[in-house]
Formats: sequence, C-alpha cells, structure tokens
Amino acid sequence: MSDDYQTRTDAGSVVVVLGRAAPSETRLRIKTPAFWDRFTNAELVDYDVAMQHDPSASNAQQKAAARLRIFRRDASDAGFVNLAKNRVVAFVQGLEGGVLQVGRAATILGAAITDDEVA
Amino acid sequence: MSVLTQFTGGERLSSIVGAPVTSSSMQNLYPAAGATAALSGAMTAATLKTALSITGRGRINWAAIYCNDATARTLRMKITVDGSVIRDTTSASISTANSGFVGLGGGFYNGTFATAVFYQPVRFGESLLIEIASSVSETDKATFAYAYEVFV
Repeated sequence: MSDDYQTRTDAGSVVVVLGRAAPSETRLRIKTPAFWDRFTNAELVDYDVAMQHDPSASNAQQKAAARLRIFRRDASDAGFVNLAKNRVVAFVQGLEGGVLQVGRAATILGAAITDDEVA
Repeated sequence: MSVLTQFTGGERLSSIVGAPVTSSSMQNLYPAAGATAALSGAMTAATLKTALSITGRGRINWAAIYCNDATARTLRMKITVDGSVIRDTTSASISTANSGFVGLGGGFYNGTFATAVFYQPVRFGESLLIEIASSVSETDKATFAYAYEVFV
C-alpha cells in the first residue's frame, strides 16, 4: 500500500483505509485579483480586446463582448469568484477557443485555491 | 464458515436495490453522518482503487464519494461484502465541485445545512471492500467518506 493508506487493528479486525484527511472545508471562493492572475498576460490582453464595444460589430458579437464586460464587473463588485458556481464554470469554459486555448479552463478552475488566493 | 455466518444461517446480502442518493455540498453532508473523509490519493482513469478494506466482522453504515473540483468526470464506487459485490455504481458526469453520491445510506443538504442523513447498515462477517474510481487520472481530486463499526 502507498502513503495514501493507514492500516490499523481494531477489535481484532484489520482495517486498511485511505488515510490522508480531506480538508475540513473545500475552498471555492478565490479573490478577484487572484482569479485574474490565473490568466496569462496574453490571455488578459485578448480578453480586454474582446470585451471592447464595437458599434459596427454584429448584434451577436456585441452581446458576446457585453458578456465579458458583465462578468468582469460582477467579479470586481463581488471581490471574489466562486469557482464551483455553474455560471462561472460555464463562462470560463466558454472562453476556450477564443480568449483561452483548449484545456486552459480546467487549469484556471481546477487548481487548488491557496492560502493567498482564498476569499 | 465464520462464527457469524454459522449462527445466522449463512445469510448474505446479495445486492442493494435502488439507486444511490446524489447530492451537492457533500463536504457539508458527511460531517452530519458522523463520517470520516479522506482524499483519494492518486487514481488512474477508470481503474478501481481500494478506499476501505476490513478483514473481520463489522458493519458499514454510510459511504460516499464526491469530487473536489469542477473538472467533468464520472465517479464509481464498488462495495464488496464477504466476497459478494452488493453495489457497483458509476455516476453520470459531474462537473460541480463537492458533488457526488452516497453509495451506502443517504442524506440531503438544503443549501444551508444537512436536513437529513440516514444510515443503511450492512453487516459483514468476514470482509468488507470498498473501491473507488474516477474517469480521469488525477490526484486528490476525489474525497471518500465512510462510517463503519467493527465487532469483537
């Protein structure tokens, strides 16, 4: 058995069980600045460009840009981002193929929230 | 034949009927069940890994598995009692942190607190084995929670 396990004898029974305690509280909220720090500089530039209002753009493109602005404003107002919230997950995943390369959403959403990042 | 099976006529649980209870906010549910939680450690995609193995006599009351982040994955729990598989369940795809299912027992979290938790005691006379798996190769992205008792 690996280090994942603990083995003990209990009332004559031999118990082998996963032994590394789960965190008492799973961290879900990350400070807004720490959230944006998870993006690379190039990704942030692309995000900023994509969220600009362009009056000559199609209605769909203007709405897509508005969604980016709304998310940034909401995150700023709240001061934190809940990485487990379905709307946040869908939004970040939706950035793939545009602002983000495929696979980046999982990295941004899935990395453990550190002591410095937790909100 | 063990002492237990000798005097109980050798009855063995064949299988558990019904589907496991699924829930979000599992990190708030398991403490209400008096359960202990442990990280999964390293798991290889779609490969069962021992979560709890007991050689002896006892009773498993509650067992659950849930994911620790929002990566889309399925989770599986296989429960073997005295050599017989009584439950082998794989979840639908889960992409919400702290969501999973209660493989044995049940419970409900209403968003503020656990309003109900129930045990589903299953006795074992010789051995208990609970294995878990994820559809994704990963480390410590799942949590296994359990509550058991052993008999003298």
